[in-house]
Amino acid sequence: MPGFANDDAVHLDRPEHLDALFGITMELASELWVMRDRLAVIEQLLDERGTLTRDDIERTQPQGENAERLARERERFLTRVFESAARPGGK
Amino acid sequence: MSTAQPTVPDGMRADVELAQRGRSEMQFLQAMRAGLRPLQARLRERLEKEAALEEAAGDIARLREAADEVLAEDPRLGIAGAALRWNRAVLTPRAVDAFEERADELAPKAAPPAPEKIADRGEEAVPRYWRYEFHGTAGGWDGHEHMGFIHHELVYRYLLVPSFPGDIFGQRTRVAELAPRDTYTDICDLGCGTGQFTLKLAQAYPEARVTGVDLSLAELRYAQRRAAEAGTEWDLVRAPAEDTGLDGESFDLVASFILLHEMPPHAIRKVFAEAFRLLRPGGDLVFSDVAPYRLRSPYQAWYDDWDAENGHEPWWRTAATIDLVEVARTAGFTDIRQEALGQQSYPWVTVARKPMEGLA
Repeated sequence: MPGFANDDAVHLDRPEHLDALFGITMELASELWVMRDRLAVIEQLLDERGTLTRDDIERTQPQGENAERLARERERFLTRVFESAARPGGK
Repeated sequence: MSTAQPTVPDGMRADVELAQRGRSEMQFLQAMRAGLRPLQARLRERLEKEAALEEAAGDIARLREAADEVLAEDPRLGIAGAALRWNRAVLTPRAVDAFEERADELAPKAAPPAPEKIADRGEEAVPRYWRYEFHGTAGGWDGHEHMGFIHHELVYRYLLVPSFPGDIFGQRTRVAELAPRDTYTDICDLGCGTGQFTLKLAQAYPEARVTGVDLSLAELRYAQRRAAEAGTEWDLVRAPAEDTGLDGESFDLVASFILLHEMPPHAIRKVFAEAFRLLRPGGDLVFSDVAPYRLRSPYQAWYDDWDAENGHEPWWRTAATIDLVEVARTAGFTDIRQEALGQQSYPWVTVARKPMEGLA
């Protein structure tokens, strides 16, 4: 009844909300990837140098095997995100 | 770990390095494309099994309907569409952020040597279609002072070069070399952007005076920088390709690369008319653009059209279905021929000649 407490409020009830939620998921996935990449760079630099500065992290451009490993991990990560999104009802 | 730049695509600066956030965000967007491939491969398998697509080939509206029916309950199409749409929506803003994060080092590499030399026909010459958002370039092609650098050095490097098959800069070279004559003296590149095709024209015909026309001042500014770094100089004009304001009969080659699909059909007709006006008698036209749907496989035609609809490409379908031979003939050209230079008929090149006086 209008004006009284609604115990079962539903706010995201339009089809467009699904696309918006998907966008939020991608934002979170992107941010998670930035952190994973940063951690990989930190681990690599610590292995190589034992110590590091913030500038070391910003300046590092992964090369060769490290770049390839990160590319594989990115692709695997995103394939999993998309596969799980597409699974319900998929044929 | 080395701090050197990884493999640098053709025509790009070797000294563009992003900070960790910008680099990994751009790589994330690139990896989304790769991550979608298994989904897209299964969609393709499903569609190619359907005889309905073969039956509807040649009629893009029927082809889309047939595919919609097959995929009506398949969530993979929605996921791929939402993912690509989000990817395109954030691509330019992410690239701008990545540039800003390193602006102190990158801005000096983006600055044009003599921006006052770029001629400008002014706002009143800008056509309505330019105001649409295309290619998801949020904020517009002039949305940042250095959008030309951002688009060429970041968007191309991180997304377009790794995501699209074939050597996309090599394709520009092959189209430039397709012009009928061995030498030209005055070349006009319509829709030159940051000069990707212009540079190939300048390299193929080193004696020629080269003019580039584009509606984006930011793209022209970086084109000027790229020309200077290649040891050359171009006349650059901000103007619509269909109304350049340049002198008539002042060129012996008028060319364009992937310009026509950015504009409505009436503007395409005007571009051919403008090219005719710009050319001296006997001059050549070489326009390369998207492949016609009729030359694509049914699946590829369906994908082009679906992707264009979902990817800020308002004029792709009309460009992929228009008869450019008829358009060229109506504009007065003769010796018209068309040639496919790559797989699935892309690049698709239209070559024509302005007749010598008295022969039209």
